[in-house]
Amino acid sequence: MAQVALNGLVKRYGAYQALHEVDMTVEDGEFVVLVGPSGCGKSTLLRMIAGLEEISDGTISIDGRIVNTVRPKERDIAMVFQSYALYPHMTVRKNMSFALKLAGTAQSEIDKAVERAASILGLEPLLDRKPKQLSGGQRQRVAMGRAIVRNPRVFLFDEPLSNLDAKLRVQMRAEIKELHQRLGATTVYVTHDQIEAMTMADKIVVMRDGHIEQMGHPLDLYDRPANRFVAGFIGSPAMNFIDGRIDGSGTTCFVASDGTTIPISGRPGLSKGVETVLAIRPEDLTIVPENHSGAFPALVSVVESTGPETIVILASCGTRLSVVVKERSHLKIGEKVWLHAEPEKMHFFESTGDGCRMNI
Amino acid sequence: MRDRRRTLLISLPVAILVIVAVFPFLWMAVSAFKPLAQLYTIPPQWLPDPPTLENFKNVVFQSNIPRYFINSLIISIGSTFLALVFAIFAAYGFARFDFRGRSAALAFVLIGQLLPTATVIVPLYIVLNYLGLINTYLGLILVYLILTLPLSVWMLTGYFRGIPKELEDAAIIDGASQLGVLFRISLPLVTPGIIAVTLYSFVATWNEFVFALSFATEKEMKTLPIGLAEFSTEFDTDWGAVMAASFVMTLPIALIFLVMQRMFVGGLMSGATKG
Repeated sequence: MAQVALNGLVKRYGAYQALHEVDMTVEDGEFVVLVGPSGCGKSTLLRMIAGLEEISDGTISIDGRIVNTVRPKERDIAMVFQSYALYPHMTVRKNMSFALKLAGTAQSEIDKAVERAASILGLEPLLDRKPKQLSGGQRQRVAMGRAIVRNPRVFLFDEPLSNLDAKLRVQMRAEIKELHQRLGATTVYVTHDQIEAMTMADKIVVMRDGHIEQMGHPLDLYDRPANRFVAGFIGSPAMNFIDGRIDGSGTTCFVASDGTTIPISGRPGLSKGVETVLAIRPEDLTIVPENHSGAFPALVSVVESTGPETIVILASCGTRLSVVVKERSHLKIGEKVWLHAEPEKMHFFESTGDGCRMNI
Repeated sequence: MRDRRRTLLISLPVAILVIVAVFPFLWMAVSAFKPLAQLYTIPPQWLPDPPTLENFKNVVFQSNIPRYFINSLIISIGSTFLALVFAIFAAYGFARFDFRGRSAALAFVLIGQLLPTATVIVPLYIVLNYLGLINTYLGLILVYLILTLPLSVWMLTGYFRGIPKELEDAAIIDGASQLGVLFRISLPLVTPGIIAVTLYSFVATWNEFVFALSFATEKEMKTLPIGLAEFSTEFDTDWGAVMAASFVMTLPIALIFLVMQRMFVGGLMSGATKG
C-alpha cells in the first residue's frame, strides 16, 4: 500500500485553469473522498493521479516517488469508472485477467488471482458471462474485481455508484467500505453525493471551481464547516442560511433581514452591528410552543414525510427554512408555528466574499 | 380502415421501389438461361423455355471471363485489404487524438471523393506510367485505394468515436500500449464497421469501370466490367453471354451480402447514430 501526495497541483486547458495549486496527502490505507458539484475538478484530479491527464504544474508522488511522467501502468494503480468500462467483447474472467495477462503473469497465477477476487465479490457463477448479460450491480462488482485482481497500491474510484438505483447504491456503498476495511488499500473516491462522502470517507475533501474548500474528518466538516459553501454542501436536507446582523440591546440577538429576532445569548464574541449569516442545520431547529423562550415565528409551506422523519419547509426570517421532525407531524399548510434553536448549535458565516466561518 | 390505408400508403411505394431495383437483376438472371432466339422476342418471353446453360458454357470455356474474374478478385481483395489497413489507422487517429488541423484534414480527405473521376484519370495515368505501374495489379490496387479510402476513413472514424473513451482509459490503466488499446479493445468493438467498410470497398472496386478501362489495357490485366464490354463488337452483341457473365459477376457480391446482410445493415446504423 502507499501514500499519495499532491503538491501545488495545477491543471490548465489552454487559458482555462481547472485546478488551482491543490495540496493534499492521502495516507497509507486511508479512504479519501473527493466531493463537490460537477465541474469542480474532482474527476480531473483523479485522472491526473491515474496518469490519464497531463500535469500542468506541481507534482504527484506515490510513496515519495514523483510520478508526473510515469505511465499509468507503471504507477501500480487501479481505477473503477462511472460507466464501469468493462470490455464488452470479453467474458468476466477475461475482463478481470486482462491486466495480469498484459503484465505477463503466469496463467496459473492469473487463475488464482481471478478466483480469489471472484470469491471476495461473489462473482464465481458469472465468470464466463459477457458484461451485457449482467445487471448493473453485477457489472459494478466486476469492475471492482478487475481492480482487486491486480493488487494495486492505490485504488481510484470515479463516481462508481452513480449509475445504480438508490437501493443498490446503499448496498454497494457498504460493500466498497467493507472491501476497503478488508484490503486496507489506499483509496481515492470521487463522488458528487455528499451522503456517500459522509458514510464512506476517513477524510473528505470538498472541492469547488478547482480549489479545495475544506478537508477533514466527515464529522468535523459537518460540525465545523469552514465556509458557507461547505456548510451548504455537506448535510441533507441542506443547512438553513439566514441573512441579518447582530444586535445587542439587552441580550445579544440576531436580527434577520425581515426583522425577526433570534436570541443568541451564550455566543459571545459577536460584535454589535456586524452583518452576518446565521446557519442552522434542519435537525437543530425544533418546533416549540409559542411561549418557549427565544422562539421565533414561521409559516408552514410544505410537509414532506419520509416515514421515519418529516421534513417541514417553512417561511420565516425572510427566507425558507427546513426543519427535520422525528415524530409524526400533523402540521397543516399555512399554519403558524414557533421555532427554536440552541445557540451553541448555530453557525455564523461572513456575509461577504467566500462566506468564511466566523470563529466564535 | 385507417390502418389499412396507412399500410397501403407505405407498402405501395416500397413495392414500386423493390420492383425498380430488383427487375434488372431478375431479367439478367432469367435471360442468362435463355437461348439466343428467345432474347429478342416481342412481346418478351418471361421465362426461358427450355432453360439452357449454353451461355454459361460460352462464358466459362470460350471467353476470357475466368481470367478477368481472377484479376477482379486479386485487385478487389488487395485494394480492400490495403484500404482497411490505412483506414483503421487514419480513422483511429482522427477519432482519438487531438491535433492541430484535425477537422480540416478530415474534411480534406473527402475532397478527393468529390472530384469527378474524369479529372484524375490523366494525372493518374502519367504517374502510373512514370512508375511503370500501368497494367500491373499493384497499379490498379493503388488506384482503387484512392477511390475507396476517403469514405472508408469517414465511416470508421464514426465507429471509433462511438467507443466510450473510458474503455480505452481502462485498458491504458490495465497496462495496454496505445497500439494494444487499438488492437485488443477498439478494433474488436468496431467489427460491424470493419465489415461495412470491407463490403463497401470490395463492391466499389469490383464494379469499377473507368479506371480499369484506362489503366488495364492488356488482356491479361483486364477486370470483369471491362470483360463484359468485350461481348459487344462492332457488328454484334452477344446478349446471352453478357447476361451469363453479368450473372457470374454478380454472384460473389450477392453471396457476401446475403451472408453478412444483418451485420452490414446493423453496422451502418450504429455508425450513423453514434458517429
